[in-house]
Amino acid sequence: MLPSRLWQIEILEDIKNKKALILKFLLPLFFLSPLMTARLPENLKAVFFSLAVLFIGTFGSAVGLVRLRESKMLERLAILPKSRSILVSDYILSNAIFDILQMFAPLAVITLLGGPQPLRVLLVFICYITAILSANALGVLVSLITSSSGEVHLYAILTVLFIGGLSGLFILPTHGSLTTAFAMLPFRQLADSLIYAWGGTFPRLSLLAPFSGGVFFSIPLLLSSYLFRFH
Amino acid sequence: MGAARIVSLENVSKSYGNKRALIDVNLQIRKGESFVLLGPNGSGKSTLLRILAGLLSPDDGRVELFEKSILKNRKEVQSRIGILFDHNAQWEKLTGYQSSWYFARSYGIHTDKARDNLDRLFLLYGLWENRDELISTYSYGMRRKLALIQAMSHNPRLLILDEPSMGLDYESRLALYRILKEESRRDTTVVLAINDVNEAALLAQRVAILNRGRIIITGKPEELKASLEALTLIVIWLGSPIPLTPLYEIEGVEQVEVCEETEDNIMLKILAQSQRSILTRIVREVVGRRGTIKALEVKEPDLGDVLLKFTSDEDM
Repeated sequence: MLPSRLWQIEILEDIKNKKALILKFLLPLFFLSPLMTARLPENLKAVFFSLAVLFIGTFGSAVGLVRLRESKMLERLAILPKSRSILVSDYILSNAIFDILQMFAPLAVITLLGGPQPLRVLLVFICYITAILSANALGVLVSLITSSSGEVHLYAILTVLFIGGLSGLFILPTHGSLTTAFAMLPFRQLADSLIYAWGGTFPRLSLLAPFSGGVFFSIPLLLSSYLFRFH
Repeated sequence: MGAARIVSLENVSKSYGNKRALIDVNLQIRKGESFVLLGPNGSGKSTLLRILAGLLSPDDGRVELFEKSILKNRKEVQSRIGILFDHNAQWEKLTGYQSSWYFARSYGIHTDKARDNLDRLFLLYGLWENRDELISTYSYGMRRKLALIQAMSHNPRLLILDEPSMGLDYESRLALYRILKEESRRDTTVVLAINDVNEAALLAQRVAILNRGRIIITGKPEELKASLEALTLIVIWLGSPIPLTPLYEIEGVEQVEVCEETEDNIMLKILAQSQRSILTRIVREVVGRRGTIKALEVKEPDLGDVLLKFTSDEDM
């Protein structure tokens, strides 16, 4: 295959790196196996899975981008007569495609074991894609504020904790308006959609998942010129 | 009417914090010129090239390529330039051809044209046999050639090359020189940053010497050498060290440089005014300081001596 777009290159690189590819698919299975096998309350399963999506998307995207910067590949991309927001969107999409695939098996098992109502699974799937895209977009933002690969893990974990907290994945807010605001975040929407799939109440705000994902996705595109600022 | 101005810099300055990397740089490079930037490490060559490539914005001054501001017309200007950095960053898990294909297509080259260009360049640089091998298996020299192919894959009208021959074997160097001369004949403007003065003398139609962020002098290599016409280069190999200060005190001595130094072999380069008695005075001083002269040679100064003279004068 001869790649003409950055997302094709990223996917080719990932496919050819066999060891990393196997690890990428085995690790989520390993870490999420308690969710798949243990008898846990449904809301806990939903929250853990959403946190895993947030964690994997943000870390993978941030670390990969900082690595591209440190290897000076970003410099090489910066001299191309291409829109920088297209380069960033290509990067997010390629990472998101892999994340969607690598987390799909655990998601399928967790959802199926919960005895889902088939029509409700569609909402889970939409929220899942949105949450993964958003987590990868967050990773790009993390790489913007990171100057080295040593720092990236720290900033990524802080971001995961902050956004996870805002999404009510650790403690659900009791104040009504706050609950509404937090339910607009893609990771809360994913958790709510999972609970709904297992027979919970209909999460109206999860229908806004594509909108929430669009907002998350467009922020790094708007800031893409900062990513290609060199010193 | 002269050839079109391809590169134009007016009063360009750039600082990194307190360090001034470029100071009031003015430069005009015309279509088809092969222009070399010479200067010691840290003189500002790479900063200048990165500004030309659109990677850095100057703090002050105006930069125009093809008579257009690169900051305001980035994509249009970048589509006409090919850049080789002083590093060889590549996607390691891609083949040489796959990676080059991406670069060619990113410049908007149609697939048929991209294939023609890449096939020609892979053959020209001797990488045809290795085109479908993973870049991770390439040697340093092969990576350098691959980066050159990628810089030239879209037939750029301006080539900006930072140390293009770094890591290349002798045969590949000769091929590179041939290609660059051919490009220049095809009216491609070539801007090179080079450390090797012999290479600069071979490739340059015009040279700019940079030191501490300033352009000290610009001209054709022969003009620069002519600026040292009244000077002679005396090379002395000594068997033991001597203090250099007394040599400086000899009237007519412009510069003394220790070029090689081992325990029992020291090479001194002395740039001195072409006076009849100067050699005698220098030899007398060396012998008087108990220096053992193993060999002595009087030469015409070359481009390296020009570089040494202008950059050392600045340092003093």
